[in-house]
Amino acid sequence: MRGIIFTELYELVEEKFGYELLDDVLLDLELTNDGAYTATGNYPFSELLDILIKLHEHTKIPIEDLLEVFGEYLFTRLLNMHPELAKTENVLEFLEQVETYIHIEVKKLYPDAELPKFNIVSKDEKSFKFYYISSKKLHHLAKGLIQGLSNHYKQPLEIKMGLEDKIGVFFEVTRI
Amino acid sequence: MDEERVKRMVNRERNARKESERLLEQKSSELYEINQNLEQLVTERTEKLTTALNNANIAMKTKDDFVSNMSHEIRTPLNAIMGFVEVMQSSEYEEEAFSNYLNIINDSSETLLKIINDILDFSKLQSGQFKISPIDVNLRDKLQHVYSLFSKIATEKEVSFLINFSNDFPKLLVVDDIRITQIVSNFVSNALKFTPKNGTVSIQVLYEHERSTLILKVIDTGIGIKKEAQATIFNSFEQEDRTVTREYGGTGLGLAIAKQLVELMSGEVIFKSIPQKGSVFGFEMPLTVAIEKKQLKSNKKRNLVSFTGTILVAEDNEVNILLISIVLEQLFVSFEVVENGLLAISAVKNNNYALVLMDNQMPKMSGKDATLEIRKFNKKIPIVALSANALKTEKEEFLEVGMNDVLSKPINKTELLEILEKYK
Ligand code: HEM
Repeated sequence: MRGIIFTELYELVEEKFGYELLDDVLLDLELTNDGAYTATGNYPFSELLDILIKLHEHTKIPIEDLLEVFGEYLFTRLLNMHPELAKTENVLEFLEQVETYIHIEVKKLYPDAELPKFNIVSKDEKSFKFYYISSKKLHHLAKGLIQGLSNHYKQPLEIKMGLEDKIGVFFEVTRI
Repeated sequence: MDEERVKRMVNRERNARKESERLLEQKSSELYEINQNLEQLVTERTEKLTTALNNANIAMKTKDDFVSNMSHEIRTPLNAIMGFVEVMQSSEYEEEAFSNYLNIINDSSETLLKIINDILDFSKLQSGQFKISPIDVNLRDKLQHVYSLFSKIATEKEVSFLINFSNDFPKLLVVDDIRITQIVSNFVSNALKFTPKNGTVSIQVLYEHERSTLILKVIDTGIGIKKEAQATIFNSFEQEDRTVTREYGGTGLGLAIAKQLVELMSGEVIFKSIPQKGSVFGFEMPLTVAIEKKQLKSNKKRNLVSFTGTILVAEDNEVNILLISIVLEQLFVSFEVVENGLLAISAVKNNNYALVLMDNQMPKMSGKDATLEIRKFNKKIPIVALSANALKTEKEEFLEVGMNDVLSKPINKTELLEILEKYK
């Protein structure tokens, strides 16, 4: 997993819960380089999960909620990292382009990145339906990222997330 | 904030920075490596491009050589033709030399025609305009014909020349016989060209019924082809090397044309050669056997005239004699040839001809003078002038000396027929 995901999570935790909590979380864990991540590195995905579990233990906030909040925050940070990848301000179109363009370019920039796949089911002016497919099962992060997208461009969206089935997790994103 | 925590945090930041620097360093070396690879790639590509460019230059040179060789090939017979025509126009040549010149001109024209045909065929093949038209044909007959055409050359060169067909060779095959003949002629003429005295050239023709395939090989015991040249022998513009061109002539297109024709007919060329031992040129080609249709012999209208009796032809020019003979033979009219006016007079005296075809410009005595003589003892026999330049004044001169009609040269079958009808 790309280092930026870790460093951004750190910032969010520091911001929301303070550096003491972050220090406590890290103190309990055995992490690469003692948890001194850098944005340009690549680290085991399992360490992100370890951190999230510890965070949950310390804060009692469900991991799903933690991921959603993180996603919401992460979107703008990712966008700021590569603003040239945003080709549209229409959020539904943007969402489609994450699959058809943005993540493809991300993979070119970071060949070791592991990205999800969106199976697009249908799209029109009002809605966008797709399956989130990934071995990482970070659909709650995806939900948060979409919320972040909506916030960023100030275009309100209703985000319905289904339960995981054989294909993946179904998303129905509608303008409101 | 307790001191331990601060230390840990500062440490964590420092480690992150160091990790960051390490990654940066790593990226730099990666970039450096990529750069190195790129440089190598550029060098390799440049080398490849240089080779490609060299090859292109060589190809261009081959084409240039071809063009200069070709213009040499064309110019040689053309010079001969023009030179001899000039000699014949200006000087007072002797009878024997005259026909010799004509032979040279004739040979040169044939060579020239062959070269031009080759070039035309080749450019048609290149542009994909070549059409193959298969018909039901007795291929054995056609190949026998090719064989007999080349037999004379083989005998002259003292090369033994054979043709063999497999036992169950089909009577009729569906094939473009003209093209097959062209291919085989090319192989055979090469084989004869490059096989020295006492050698052998044999044409082996086999039809494999199970595979519906014709296999034809022309095998010679000639000088063979050098190993280095074998790979490119079928390329256009290439002969084995320039010395071959100089010694044996030819456009260098023959084999290229043959190969393309074979491939156009879905066949494959067969080629083997051992230097100083000989070569095999041939092809394998899928061909279907045609079903024999019982056809009623159609009574084709032969241009037979009801002319009876023998014609006397007084003419000294070999080519003209040949031309007239061909036409008269086609018409099944018997004839005799004399080569000057004096001989014509005595021939008419001693024989009973039905008609005389009389050239004017002949050695010893002209046609007009001979006619005057003939008319002294034979007023009835029709005498028709063969005139090279059909000027009106000349025609009148002919009629004045006692001739009955004038035919213009070169002899045209329809006009000759009219004359024969008139004096039958
Ligand atoms: C609404 C928009 C987006 C959604 C829903 C989305 C979704 C996701 C998800 C769910 C992941 C986690 C990996 C996984 O699930 O397999 C991910 C990873 C990632 N995405 Fe996106 N993404 C969005 C926009 C962007 C943008 C705008 C960028 C960059 C300009 C970006 C760059 C990345 C990167 C770098 C990763 C990390 C890959 C790794 O760690 O190996 N994404 N994305």
